[in-house]
Amino acid sequence: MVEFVESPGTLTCRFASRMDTSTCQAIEASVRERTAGTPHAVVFDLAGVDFVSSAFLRLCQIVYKQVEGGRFRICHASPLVTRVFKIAGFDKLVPIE
Amino acid sequence: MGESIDVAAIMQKAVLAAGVFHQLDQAHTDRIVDAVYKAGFANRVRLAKMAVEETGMGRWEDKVTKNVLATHSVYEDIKDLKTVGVISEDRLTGITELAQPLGPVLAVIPVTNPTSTTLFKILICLKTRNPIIISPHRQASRCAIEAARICYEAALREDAPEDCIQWVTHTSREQTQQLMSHPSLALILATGGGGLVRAAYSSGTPAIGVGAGNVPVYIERSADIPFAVEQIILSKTFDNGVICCSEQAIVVERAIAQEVKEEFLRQGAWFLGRDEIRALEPVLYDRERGGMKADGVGQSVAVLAQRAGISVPAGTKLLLAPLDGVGGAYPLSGEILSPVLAFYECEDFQDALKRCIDVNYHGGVGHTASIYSNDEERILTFSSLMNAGRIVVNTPSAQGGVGAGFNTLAPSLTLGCGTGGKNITTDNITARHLLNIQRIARRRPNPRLATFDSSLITDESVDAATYRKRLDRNY
Repeated sequence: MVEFVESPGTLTCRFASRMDTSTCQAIEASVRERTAGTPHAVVFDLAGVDFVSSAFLRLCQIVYKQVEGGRFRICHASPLVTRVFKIAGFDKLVPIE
Repeated sequence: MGESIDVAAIMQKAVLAAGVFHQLDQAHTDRIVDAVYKAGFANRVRLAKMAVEETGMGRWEDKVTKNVLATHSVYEDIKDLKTVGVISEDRLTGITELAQPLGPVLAVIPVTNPTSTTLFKILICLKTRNPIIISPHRQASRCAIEAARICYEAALREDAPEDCIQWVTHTSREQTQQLMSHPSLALILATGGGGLVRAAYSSGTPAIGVGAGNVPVYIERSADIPFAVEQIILSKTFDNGVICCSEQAIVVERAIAQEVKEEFLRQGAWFLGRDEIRALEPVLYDRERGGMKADGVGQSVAVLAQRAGISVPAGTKLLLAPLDGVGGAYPLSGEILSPVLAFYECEDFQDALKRCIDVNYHGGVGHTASIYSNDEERILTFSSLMNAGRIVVNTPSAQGGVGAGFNTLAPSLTLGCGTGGKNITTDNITARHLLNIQRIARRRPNPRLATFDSSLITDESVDAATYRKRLDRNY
């Protein structure tokens, strides 16, 4: 459901398929644990994601607050998911690519 | 004093829900609506009893009926409505319509119809994928919030977005204003008193408001009088008269006045004398504020008579106050949301029409008017003279105005009153009003332009008739 990939200076969290409420509940602790206090930039890679729930949006908010200094970004969001981030106002906080 | 609410947090949750909602397809949306309708319907009696207990207004049996309207009738009306993606396609005109949600909706809930309005607004918002924030009247907050909670739990069971339904209670005036003017709020569905509706319109957020009613009922001489009287009593006693489209004044021509009076008496109504009217006025009308007294709303005849110190026959269903005029000097000529009606005798058709116009324009512009008649010409004449979004014919106006059961108006607990009532529409508000409709306009050449000399556009000597003639040449 989530795969963590570390490269120099970057921690990438790759998510798969549907990020519904139950999936997010299952992964939230591990994502928070890996991203808390990390010195790296954090990237949420949504290449495989076709649905995001409120729980996933909240997880993005949490990680945004954990990773200070604008070191959080979201990449490979589908057009529909990009629109969701726009509606939720996330694009003003986080780069969405 | 209001309880502290975090407006920013509420709106943040609402925008997240709006984002998630955007991804739902029609089938998923409809599953949520189906589940919420069933949950609301299953709780119709409990919620009705809660509403009467909390507000002290109306009759629980009638509030059950309103809850059925708000769930079953509304569901029947909207269940097949397309509200996601392509909703219409016309290859000839090249126009394709796409439905998009509006965004977070603030739903103001009145004390008179708290649970039914909550259920209704939730259903139409969910059907259109709009998160809703319920803001109930402070005297009806428990029952309205319970209705919202029931709906929310049912929605979540069908994987609705979290926080798609939220509620606030006992908010201060400042917090209400903050909510109303929040930049992320898409729309205010303002069903409530005049001050609140004005606040909604002044907030800078688009708003669909309602106006006050003062419904004239013209019993025209071709009417079936026993039937008309039966229907009026059925309507004005429904929930002790709290519905804003219920009758307020009976207007009859003198030629049939006696027959109408006798029929009202036969069917359980009671005509008040001058002293009794004077005694009842302060029970129902606040002269200082110039409007209804809140604690007089939705009370039975027995309670009103007791408060006024007047005696009426046991079992009296409705009180009629014969009045000589309309306006501030006649407190019972305005909107009274209790089983009390003004009664006017007029010389003839023309006089009756003028009296109906007076009543209509005395606080009820744009709302509803009612006529009992079997003369189509007179029905049309009456209708064209009323400033009313709904003119109900041979129909109890309380039930007829809200649609379902007596006519084919959209079932609704939010009745638009047009510009006369300071509203944008005269429609019965429903899911159709909660969509942004996008139109994809495909190129369709205009054949008249093919042979048109475009230099005529800038030629000042060409007048409108010539221009049109040249445009239509060979066409």
